[in-house]
Amino acid sequence: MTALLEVDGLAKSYPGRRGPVPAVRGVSFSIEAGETLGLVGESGCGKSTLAACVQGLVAPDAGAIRIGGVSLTEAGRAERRQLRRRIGLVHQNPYAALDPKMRVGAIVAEPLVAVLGLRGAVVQSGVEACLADVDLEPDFAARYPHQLSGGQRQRVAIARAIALDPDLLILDEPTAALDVSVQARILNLLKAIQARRGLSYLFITHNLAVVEYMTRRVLVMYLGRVVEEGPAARIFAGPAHPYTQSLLAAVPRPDPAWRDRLMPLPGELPDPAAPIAGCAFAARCPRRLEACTAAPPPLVPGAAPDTLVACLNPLGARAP
Amino acid sequence: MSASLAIAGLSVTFPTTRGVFHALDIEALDVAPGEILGLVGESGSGKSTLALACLDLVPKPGLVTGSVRVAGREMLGGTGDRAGAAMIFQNPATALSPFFSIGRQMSDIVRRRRGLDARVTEAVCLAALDRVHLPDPPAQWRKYPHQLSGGQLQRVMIALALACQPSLLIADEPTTALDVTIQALIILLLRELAQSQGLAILFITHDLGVAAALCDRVAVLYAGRVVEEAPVAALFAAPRHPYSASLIAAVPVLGGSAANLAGIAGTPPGPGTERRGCDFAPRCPHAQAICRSAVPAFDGAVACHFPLGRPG
Repeated sequence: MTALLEVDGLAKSYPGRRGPVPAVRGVSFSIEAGETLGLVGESGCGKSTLAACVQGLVAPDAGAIRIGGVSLTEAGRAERRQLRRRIGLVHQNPYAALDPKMRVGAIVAEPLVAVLGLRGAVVQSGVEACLADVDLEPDFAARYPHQLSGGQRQRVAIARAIALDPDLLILDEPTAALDVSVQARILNLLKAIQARRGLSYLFITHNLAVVEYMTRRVLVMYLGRVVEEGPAARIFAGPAHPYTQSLLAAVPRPDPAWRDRLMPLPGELPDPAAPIAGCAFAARCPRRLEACTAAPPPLVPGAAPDTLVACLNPLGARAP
Repeated sequence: MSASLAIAGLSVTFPTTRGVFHALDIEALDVAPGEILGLVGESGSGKSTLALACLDLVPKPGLVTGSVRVAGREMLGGTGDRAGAAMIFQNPATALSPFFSIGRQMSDIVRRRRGLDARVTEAVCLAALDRVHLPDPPAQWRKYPHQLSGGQLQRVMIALALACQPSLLIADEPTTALDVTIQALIILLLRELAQSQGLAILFITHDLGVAAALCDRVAVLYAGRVVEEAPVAALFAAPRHPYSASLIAAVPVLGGSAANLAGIAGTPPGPGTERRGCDFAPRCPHAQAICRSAVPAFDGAVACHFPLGRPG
């Protein structure tokens, strides 16, 4: 079985005043058809650059991206257009993602008209089908974005993203701007659409509880590298990488009994432009060894099954 | 000792083309010195309007009536003495000017507010930067906002607020734009300041996790009214208003069950919505006939005709 999306050794730097600033430093992963992969990490970890590369919007410096076995990085212009059609995108802010001067119907119809060249009644039935998929009545097509609530706007953005019947949706913090009451409904909607259409999701978020709710497998990134990968429930219950542990300790839980266990991560993210010889997390790591600053630790199988961890001194390594 | 913040009969209305919109209607809300009161609710519940009303900053044509006292002094009515309260915002980068150094911006405000000379002002500000645990305050003093991270800037904003010696700190979603590891740092810092300085904090958030981690007491706001007020442990253990219960049930929890999260259908009433009875009734799973006709009174803990977990 080939994976729907394969990313292999992806690297991307941006030019900076003092030389290139690496944003992604060699990341590999794959997503199977119908699977959701979570991607978590803080500002500056490379999540957004990674997503832009997978969409074909940013050309990586090194590495390969394959969609259904076809290389996006080596594709010509025409082939790249075909491949990009298989990927839909939902942004964080539904207020900025929708043109305020277009009606909802036109917004959802745009990809059908512009990419597939459809006209007339086919477009209208396509729009209605997409709106139905996100639980919006057909009469929403006549409304403007400002007449919608935040949750309804995000539904419209999802309807547009699935209009071309993609195989993969990149969801970049799709609920970060929404109220929790609305977030829960959008998350459930995304699960329902996935079950119906067999879509794959790349779910990018900083919210660990949301990622655990939505995905089976998760990647934790720090400063351009994957530090830990595996089943979300297993990693979050017993993290192997000290950074994952620090993230978990900093998440406030809706349970006052937890408050005394809240722990901030000391120090700041290192300057991404400065060269890092060893593990990028070493400077802030409570479990640092001397070898940690010599070379970046490889991503190797962890003690728990199906997990990968890039750490020389992982937590729970000697667990039975 | 008098309350750091005492709100009584506060009402904020805005005239709209579809009639008068009642943005806020608060009978009474107090914060004691050293106490952290959380104010939670969805977008449009009136959280930020309440923050602005506390500083008499509600924009025209909003109409504010009632009383807001900070450390005993009335804030409303344009008396001009608002020195008792300070506020920090969601986005610290837009709260500071990019053109001036941190030191210049802090000292300008602190000198004006406290009438100190330049040398004392600098000492006061450097001490405040030290109190928010920024390393090497004199170095931060010379920096410009773009040279600091979001978490550092928010700490500068807190230091600036502290240097003005407020009785009340109003914090409007101050950690929403920050990464979780930095958010945890700010939460611990605010807790420490409330304890060591006796600072009263009105903490506005839509994040129930943050409210649980930080606040002593929580007021749940819905459509401009307080629908429930409780000590933090009691609220999360046994919410009494169905809205509070629905909000808590909508939050995904780490290590929680895989069962489907329950969202809340519908939206809060907006301008132009006819309001009769309980504002939450149209979305409430327990609503009965009376809920749609009579506004439930707030009994000091909850405003609901059929509160959950009623004893007995």
